Amino acid sequence: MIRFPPGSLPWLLAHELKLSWRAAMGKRGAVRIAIILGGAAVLALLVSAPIALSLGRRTVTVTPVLTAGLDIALLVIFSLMLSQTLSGAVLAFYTRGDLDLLLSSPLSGRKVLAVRAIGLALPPFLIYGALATPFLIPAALTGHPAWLAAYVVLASVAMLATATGIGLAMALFAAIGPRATRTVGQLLAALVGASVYLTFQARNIFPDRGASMLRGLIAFASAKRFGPGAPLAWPAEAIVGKPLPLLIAAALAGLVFVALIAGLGRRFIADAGVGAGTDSGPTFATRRSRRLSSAAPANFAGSPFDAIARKEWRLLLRDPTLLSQVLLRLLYMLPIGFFIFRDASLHDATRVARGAGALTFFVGQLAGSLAWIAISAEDAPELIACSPIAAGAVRRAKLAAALTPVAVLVAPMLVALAWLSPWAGLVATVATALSAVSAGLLNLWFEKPAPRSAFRRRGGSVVVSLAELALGVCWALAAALAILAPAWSLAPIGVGLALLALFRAIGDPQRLY
Amino acid sequence: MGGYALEVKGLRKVFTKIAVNDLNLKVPSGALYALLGPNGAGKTTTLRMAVGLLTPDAGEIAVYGVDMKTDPQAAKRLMAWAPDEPLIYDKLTPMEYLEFVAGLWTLPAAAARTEAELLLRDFDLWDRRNDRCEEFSRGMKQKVALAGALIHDPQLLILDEPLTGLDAGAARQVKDMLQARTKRGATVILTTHILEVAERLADRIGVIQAGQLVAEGTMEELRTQFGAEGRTLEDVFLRIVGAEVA
Repeated sequence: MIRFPPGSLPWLLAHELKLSWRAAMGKRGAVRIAIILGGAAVLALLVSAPIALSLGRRTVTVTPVLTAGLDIALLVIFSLMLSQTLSGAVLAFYTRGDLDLLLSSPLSGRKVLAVRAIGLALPPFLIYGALATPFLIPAALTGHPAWLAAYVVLASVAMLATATGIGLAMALFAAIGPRATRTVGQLLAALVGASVYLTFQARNIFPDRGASMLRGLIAFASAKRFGPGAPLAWPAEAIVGKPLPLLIAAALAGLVFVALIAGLGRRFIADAGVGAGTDSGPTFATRRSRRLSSAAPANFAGSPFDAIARKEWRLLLRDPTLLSQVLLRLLYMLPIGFFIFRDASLHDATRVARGAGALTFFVGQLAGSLAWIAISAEDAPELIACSPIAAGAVRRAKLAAALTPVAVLVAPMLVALAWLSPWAGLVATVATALSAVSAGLLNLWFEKPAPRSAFRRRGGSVVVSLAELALGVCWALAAALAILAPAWSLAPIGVGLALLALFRAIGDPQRLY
Repeated sequence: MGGYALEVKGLRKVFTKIAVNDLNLKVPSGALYALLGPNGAGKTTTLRMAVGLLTPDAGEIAVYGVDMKTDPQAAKRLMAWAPDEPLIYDKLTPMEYLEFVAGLWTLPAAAARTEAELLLRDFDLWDRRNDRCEEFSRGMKQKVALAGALIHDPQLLILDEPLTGLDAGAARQVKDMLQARTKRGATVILTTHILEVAERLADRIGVIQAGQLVAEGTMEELRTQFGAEGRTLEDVFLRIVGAEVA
């Protein structure tokens, strides 16, 4: 095993990677990890074999349209990576972990920032690198070894996205202060992440659903701007391994990355110190909470149900990470809501059915996110357990607290739809309610209590996520079919109910109260 | 409501090994009772069973005569629990936290509001009532949690290491508050490793070792029982648990 000099950058990086690896693997044993990795490799082989056979040794011509396509793909990957790195950079200011130890050691701020930045860049690179592997390796083995340069391009994009993410987070920090950065940074990350989807949805604004826009884009790409050697073609040329564009891409990314670390290392340390400081005079949160409380004094009236629901809403509203997740799902829902309304006014049943299905699916996802955190995230389970309230009543209040905001958000869309098309409105109302309630029930049946602070790094349960996905698809199909051919909707409804019964049976909630 | 505030008979709890073993305990109503013992003796496990957080493997628990097993909600209505780690929500303000706790105990709104103000003023938190608890020091969070435990004016207050993390001033406030509560007729049970505090505050002292109550009585009774007249509680305690002292 290689041993780096203590205190050196590689030594610190090796330490950071070891911790990240252990955190990612959790308590899984070596055999389980080997099975997971082996399974992934077999899956990749199954995908890549046909690609390898079809590519053969044929020559692939890089046309201007293909070049433009690759450029757009890189832009999409950059935006998704930026969303990830911006969110990670914002959290880096507040997650203490071992930062106190590092900051109090004689290590330079630049070294600490460099390691944190590499730690931020690595996951997106690994994710997109892994996704590209089934295409790149067969291509390399069947006569296109230069395409392996795509890995270098992906690494460069990851570095650029990380530098941009950290730069943006620190700019926000300087402009609006540490407390607001926590929320605004997460919301911005969600917006960046959804930008591709929103851009794609924007084409639907046009009467011809963007067909003319697409033709225009192809015409634009066919012009000389994307021809061989043109600056706009460089990213695509770097992917297919042209030496000069590849060198420029790598050098540019490396330069920006190193410049950021060199220039902002000291600033990062100062910001991280402020981010963690909680007793340094009235902060944004303090001022805001004072304003809020003067506007809405504490409400001592009401039942235990009201008290629990109010507490959950307050905590949901004050969780920046959760807010960004909710915003992301809202951003997915809103265009659907708009277009379903328009399609209903045009009496286009097929599109209304499609929209109702999509809306049903996203409502389930949104309800799942809120229910998961409202039900399982509890910082004071002993307080609730010691109170004279029955545990069932607490859970019902938490479920209601999670589902009420979903109902409030989706109600205007459903009312508008019902006004234009009563049957579609009724179907969508029932389907979205089913979707939301089943997502909530799943989170009750698979309750895994933990402090709120643990949720950011823990992520959701894989079983619950898959179950929400499966049920969401069932209810979405049922909604779409009920609008177009009601009798056929019985099939997905039956499957959905059977799945619900199955999950109820295998559910294994861990109760703390 | 005379008699015993807490009565425990034959209490037993086994995790991987026996934590509490056939423990019997009677805490008189209106007393300030200190439950002492070495680390791992079973104090916290006993108290967690008493407040309904753990289910005993065997034994009975009654709070002011209300059986914890048959009517846990009625028993819980009479008491409050404050562990060493404050049970609060960082994203709530002290006022919002008290509002939530008052809701759990279904207190009338006007009384709850008045009590909340009194408690926050008593604990010097009134000026910070609208700041989120995430900005507070550990001692301040502990005071918020204590205010929460007191807002429904419990007849039995059970505290596990209540002075942990408090500065001298805050510790004094808490000790004064505990004595004031017992003067008003409430019962207080606390665990502490600070034996001087127990010696000065407690009306009665119980010592748990290896999951069993090995000594119980007033300070004078314990001194007499263990032949330690004129000695401090520390001396008596070490003699009871058989610790070697250099």
